Amino acid sequence: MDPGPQAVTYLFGNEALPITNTLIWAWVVCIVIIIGARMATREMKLVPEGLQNFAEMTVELIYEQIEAMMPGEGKRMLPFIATIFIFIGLSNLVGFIPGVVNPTADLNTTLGLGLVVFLVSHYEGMKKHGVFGYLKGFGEPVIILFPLNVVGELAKPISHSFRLFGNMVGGGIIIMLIYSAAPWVLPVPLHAWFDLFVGAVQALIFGMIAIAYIAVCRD
Amino acid sequence: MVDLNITMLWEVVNFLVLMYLLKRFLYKPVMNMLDSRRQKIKGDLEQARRQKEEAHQLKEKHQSELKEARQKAQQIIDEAEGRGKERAQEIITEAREEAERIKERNLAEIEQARQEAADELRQEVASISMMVASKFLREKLDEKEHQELIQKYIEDLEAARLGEAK
Repeated sequence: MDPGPQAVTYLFGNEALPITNTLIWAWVVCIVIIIGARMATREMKLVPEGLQNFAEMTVELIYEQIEAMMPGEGKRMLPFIATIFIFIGLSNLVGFIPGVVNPTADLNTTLGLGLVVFLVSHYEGMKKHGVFGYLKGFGEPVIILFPLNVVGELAKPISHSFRLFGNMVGGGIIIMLIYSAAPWVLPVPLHAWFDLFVGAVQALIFGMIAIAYIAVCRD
Repeated sequence: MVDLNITMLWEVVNFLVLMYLLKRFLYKPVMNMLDSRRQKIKGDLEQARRQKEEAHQLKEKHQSELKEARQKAQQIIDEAEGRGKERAQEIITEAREEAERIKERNLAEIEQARQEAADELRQEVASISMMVASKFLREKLDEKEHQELIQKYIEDLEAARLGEAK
């Protein structure tokens, strides 16, 4: 049994255009998030209640994380960073529902987001320091280190995305093994551990590292 | 298990669409709400501060007015008291003067009455004397007897306290 993403169908019957179960669950996650957001903000009240309260709390918490590392940029960076937090967070947690595959247990998802963060961070760096000024930063402290710095930068999205992917897929593999070995005994606490705890922690790490990468490039 | 394919593009598109929709449906309204709440709280606090200040000023004004009113009342009372005392003094003085006048008038009247009484008495005495004298003359009494008779009569009058002899 292959623990990775499974192709459910092929777009236009083309083998090169698979639609995997992780992609379908990613869509489901997106739709759930959008519906939740819509419900939370449909009738905004000055005194928040229920879902609005939760939405405000979440957004403000993420906003404060951004402000802590990039003072004054919280409002501008909020959509990007908060979407990472919310999407990765829910994607990591849906695996708790039996039969659901974490969208983040697919390298395509994590590497895709990692590359987006990579591009955004360098774009921000160039915007702040100018293209040449930013590239000059790779030659610090001495010019000989330029290749090393470039390799270090290229390693960032890889470590960023593989960390999340490995954690999620690893948890899934262990749970799958336990299911086949002792289906009635162990899965519940393991599910709690791998899907809730590890999922929440990894989402937090992914988001915080995204902020950190952007903040470092802006330095 | 690890194969990179077109799914990565879909995931990125997913993410960008999600970001756009969340920006519209979540971040913007939430941040606006947080801002407006912050503004409202700020405004309310400012208003409360202003109202408190106003109340303080009003209280001070009222207190000073009350104090002024009290002083004024005290002043009026003092004035009235002073006037009352003065008036009482006046009345007393007047009464005293009046009493004095009445007393003097009475004394004068008494004096006059006494004078009149004395005059009357003197005339009476004289007329009686004349009468007695003529009587005695008619009865040929001598001088000495006559004299004694008059003296006796006058003494009788004194004894009856009809007045002081002059």
